Amino acid sequence: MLLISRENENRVTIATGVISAGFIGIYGILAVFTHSDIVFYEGMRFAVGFAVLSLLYALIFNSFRNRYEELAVGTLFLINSLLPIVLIDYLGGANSLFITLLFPLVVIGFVLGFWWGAIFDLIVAGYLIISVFYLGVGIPAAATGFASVLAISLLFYYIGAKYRDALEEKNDLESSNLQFSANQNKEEALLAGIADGVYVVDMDRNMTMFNGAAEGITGWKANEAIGLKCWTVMNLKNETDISVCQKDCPALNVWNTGENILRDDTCFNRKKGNKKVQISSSYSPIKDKNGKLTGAICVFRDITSRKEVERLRNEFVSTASHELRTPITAMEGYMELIENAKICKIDDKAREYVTKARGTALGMSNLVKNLLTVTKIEEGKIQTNVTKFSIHDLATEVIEAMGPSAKNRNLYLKITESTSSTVRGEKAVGRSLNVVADKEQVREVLYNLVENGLKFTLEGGVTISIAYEKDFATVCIADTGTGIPADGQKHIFEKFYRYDNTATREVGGTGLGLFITRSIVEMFGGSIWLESQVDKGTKFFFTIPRSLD
Amino acid sequence: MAKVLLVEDDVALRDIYSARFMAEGYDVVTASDGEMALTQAVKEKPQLIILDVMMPKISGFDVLDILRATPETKDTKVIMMTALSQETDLDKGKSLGADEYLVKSQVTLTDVIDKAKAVLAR
Repeated sequence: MLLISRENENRVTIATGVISAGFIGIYGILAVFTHSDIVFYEGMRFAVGFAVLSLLYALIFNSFRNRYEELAVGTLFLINSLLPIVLIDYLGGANSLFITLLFPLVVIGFVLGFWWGAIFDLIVAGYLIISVFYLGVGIPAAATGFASVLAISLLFYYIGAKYRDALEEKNDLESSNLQFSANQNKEEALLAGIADGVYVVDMDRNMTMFNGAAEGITGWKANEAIGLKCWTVMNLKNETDISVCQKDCPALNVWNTGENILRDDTCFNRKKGNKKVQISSSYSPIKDKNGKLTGAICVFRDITSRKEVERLRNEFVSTASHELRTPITAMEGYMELIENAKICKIDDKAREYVTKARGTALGMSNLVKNLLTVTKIEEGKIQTNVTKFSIHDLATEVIEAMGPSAKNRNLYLKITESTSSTVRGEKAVGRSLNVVADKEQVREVLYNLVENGLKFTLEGGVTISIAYEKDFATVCIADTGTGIPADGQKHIFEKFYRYDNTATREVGGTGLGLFITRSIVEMFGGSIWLESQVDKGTKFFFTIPRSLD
Repeated sequence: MAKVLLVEDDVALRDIYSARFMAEGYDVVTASDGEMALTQAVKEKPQLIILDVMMPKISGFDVLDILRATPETKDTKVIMMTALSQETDLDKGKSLGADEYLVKSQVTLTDVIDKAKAVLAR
């Protein structure tokens, strides 16, 4: 209601003309009723005058307003100023009530626009009509008053229109902006509401989106980060403090595999203060509706405190294990002295019990040793000394060392002679092929697996066999023992997992051996798995990278 | 019979090693830290010193250094005992003049006796 658009202004000027015509009509009727020629002619004069004015108004308005707007407006203003002057004079000079009405009308018409001006106009007109019939003011005066009031309001409306146009455009722009930013704001509100950091990179790895949580975690403001290369903002390093951005960039990996990637091994330094932040992150590719890659999105969260807790826990286990070692060693030492006939004289019963106690102490000692190994694995602090060696020769050494142990249990322990295999088109005798790894660690793996095989076998024995592929050697340790059922196989490599049945409960062991074995195998770049059937036996397989020559 | 100086800060281990060595017929004297070890080495003139590495005040390596620098003890046989198994420590021990270097968690009491016998026979 407040604003009239440009096209409506045309209608307004037409309306003015119509009103003028109407006036003439009304005048005519009034003249008929009052039977007054004077009224008629006087009225006619004013009405015509008004009509001419309005037409002039309309003409100037429509023809010249685009090019001579200022001039047109000025002229109309002048003309319309004359009318009130006449009116004021006619209706009582300075004492005229008309003046008091004129002022608010002008203001209303200017500020609020045509319709409000018109309403006020009608009120004024009503007053004038009343004044005609009740107050004895002359009809012409009333009519002219009404007409000029209308004209004045139109004029001031026009002046105001320019101002209102600008206002309207601004409002339109604002409301369309509001609409646009309402939509954008919905997305942004969502992203701002997420507690996890979110960022998006394009195919050139430029940062294109960076949410509020990302700002908080990294110390970068979104407007600073957007447009920079991903690695400038998120200079990710792995657990050994080496930058991953060139060789192991998660975004590149995601684009290569086309799949989601989860990582919790990366960290970066905050922009301000350089504090190290460890994150758990999930990367996904972004594709357009044709399935073409357009970028990658990363959702990440700060896990520094979680990692710190894990580190402290590991440190505690390590310290506790170290503390346990000394008393256990002392215990074992004393028991060895008791068992030593040169030092102590004890009866057979005592000897039996001390021997059992010593066995238990030995078990404890192994457990502490394994716990310490596990803490070192968790910290990534295992030292490796990688060399080239013959896996066949190492396996033979292990068999020699463990032979007596197997013999004690009436089991066999052997290595099957590897048949010659064809490698790169050449026949090669199996035993001469080398592998690349830490020799002592592989020895430990062989030892663990053979020991397990012997432990869980009642009849028969353990056989080691080695097969060679192009890039790696596969070692198989097969036993003829009790086997592991499928549900046990799933958890067999977990810490402290021991498949619980009567056969294994008596066997002893720490439950850490296979966890450590798997950690070592994965450390030298191999993989480990098993095949097993209950009561038939178990086969453990692991791979070691082959050397290139 | 040969005299062995046992340098070990842990009371139980000192007890156990002494008992074992005595059972094998050796004369045993003990020291519970590096300073005492140096005093005893000069005073008792043992043929063999079993030397613990991790000790308070001065470490086994420092003791060995001083022993080799002292004319009375520069030729005494020394077997170093440690809880650590870093290769760098092994080399350090050997380079400072230890005759043998044993890691406690990897050897039994009998192994220590055997090694002592072997070193004394050289």
